[in-house]
Amino acid sequence: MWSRWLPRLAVVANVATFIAIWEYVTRVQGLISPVFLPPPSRVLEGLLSLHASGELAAGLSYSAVNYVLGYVLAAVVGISLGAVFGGSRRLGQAFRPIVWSLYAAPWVAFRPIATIWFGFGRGPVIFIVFLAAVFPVLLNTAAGAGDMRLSQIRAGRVFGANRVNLYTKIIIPSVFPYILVGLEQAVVLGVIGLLVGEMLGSPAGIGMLITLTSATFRLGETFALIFLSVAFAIGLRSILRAAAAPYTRWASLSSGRA
Amino acid sequence: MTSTTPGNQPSTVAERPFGQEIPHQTLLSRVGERFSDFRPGSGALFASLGVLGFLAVWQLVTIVPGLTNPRFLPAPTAVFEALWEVLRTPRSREDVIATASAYAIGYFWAAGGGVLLGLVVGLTRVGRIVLWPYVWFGFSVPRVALAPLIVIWLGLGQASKVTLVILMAIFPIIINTSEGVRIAPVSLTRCASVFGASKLQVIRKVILPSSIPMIAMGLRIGIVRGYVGIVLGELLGSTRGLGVILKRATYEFDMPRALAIIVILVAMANISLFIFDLLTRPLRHQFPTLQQSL
Repeated sequence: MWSRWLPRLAVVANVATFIAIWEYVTRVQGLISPVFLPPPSRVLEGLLSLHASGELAAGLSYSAVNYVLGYVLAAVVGISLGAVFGGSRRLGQAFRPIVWSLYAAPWVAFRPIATIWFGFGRGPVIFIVFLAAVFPVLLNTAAGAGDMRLSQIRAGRVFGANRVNLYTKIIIPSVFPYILVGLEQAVVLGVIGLLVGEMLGSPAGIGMLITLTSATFRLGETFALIFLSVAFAIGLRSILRAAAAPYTRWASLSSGRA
Repeated sequence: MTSTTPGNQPSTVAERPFGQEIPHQTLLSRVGERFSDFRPGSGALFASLGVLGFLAVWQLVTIVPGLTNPRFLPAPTAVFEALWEVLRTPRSREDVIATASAYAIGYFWAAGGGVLLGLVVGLTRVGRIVLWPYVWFGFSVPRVALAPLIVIWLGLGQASKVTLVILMAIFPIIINTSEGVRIAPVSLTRCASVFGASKLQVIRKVILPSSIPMIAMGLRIGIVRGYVGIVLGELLGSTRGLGVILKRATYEFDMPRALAIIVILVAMANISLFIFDLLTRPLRHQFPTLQQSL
């Protein structure tokens, strides 16, 4: 029993020691000025003050809308284009260089251009979220679409499946795990895109708050916001996993894949 | 996987090798070649056709009067002109070099430090217990959010840019390295120790070689992430570099110039990946699972 709890206890002790050292080093003058590295207590204060002033709620609601819109757009475009590129060999080959080069490109660089295209409001932020999130979905869907097995299609036909049945009962469940992996990666990348989009010139939102609080040296609030976005990303991924859990169990059973 | 085209498909059951999976051909997956596979040949033809077609459509769209505003979507020719001009002017050439050198320094440190830390975390129990929470956390934190802090702490010069590159690139490297070490096949390590290898020898001869594909993958991901770091750093606070040219171009609504910078950045990222693949090609013989062109 000891050995089961030991690793978790080790992590807790580890983190607690870290926080304690952090607090000590920044409180004791002469080591690290609390102006540059806020002590954990200051971070907590910052979180509470953001909440009290309403900035937190306003920023969260603004960011949430941007994120959802960008993510849904990325999912729709990514899945449809991925299915097309993965399904047709020629189309895939034709567009592969463009997609791969864009995938390697630092999409951060598109932020200023997005401002020119979409102005100064939600537009550029949604575009950056889309840009960051679309590639994992597209690439994973294409890989999934290209990985279909003829034997399963044949089996379906032997058992009398018509075209619709083929799609709903065989093709889609087979591609689904791949799509899910892509969507999961897209959740995290979308959060990063959201932050980048809002940090570099947005009127509102969590990213804007990060830039604002760091520029005005309210670093406690900045750290609080950073931790918040981590929690946001982790929470979203867990929600996605939980929502898709029943489907993945079934899909892995039917395709014989882990 | 053998290459298949419609013409070569064996037609009768008797001709098909027993048990071979033949990719099927429905609407969703005509000939099942994985999208991530890369093979020169007819593929390259279609690839170039695709790129040329894309450029041609783009040019046509901008030529039709009134269809697109040249302010928002300049013609490819204008972008190429601006690209040529950027490469020709010595001052902007210096900016390209500034960006490239900051990136190279950052990536060098990220690769070295990342592999080292990854090995420590993966191989030593102490390392794993002590360091793993921070590695995991560092990976989960949207490090882009730390960028303003880095600029505050380290100022507007080279230091903050290099630090950002290191920050962005090092975590995938650490995680992939430690994971690669962790999943060394147990049967092989046990076999080695049965044959009398000491712990150090097991590490040197079995674990390290078998973890090379994962390490290489981590390094590859790190290359791409490093570029995000350098551009972000330059956009946020810098006086020289490609990101600065980009920002200025967008302030002046000079779209051809801005797009030209993007082309340069995309080219730099892809050239880096290409060089990396070239350098790791000899490894491909021994490690067929080594990922290329991902």
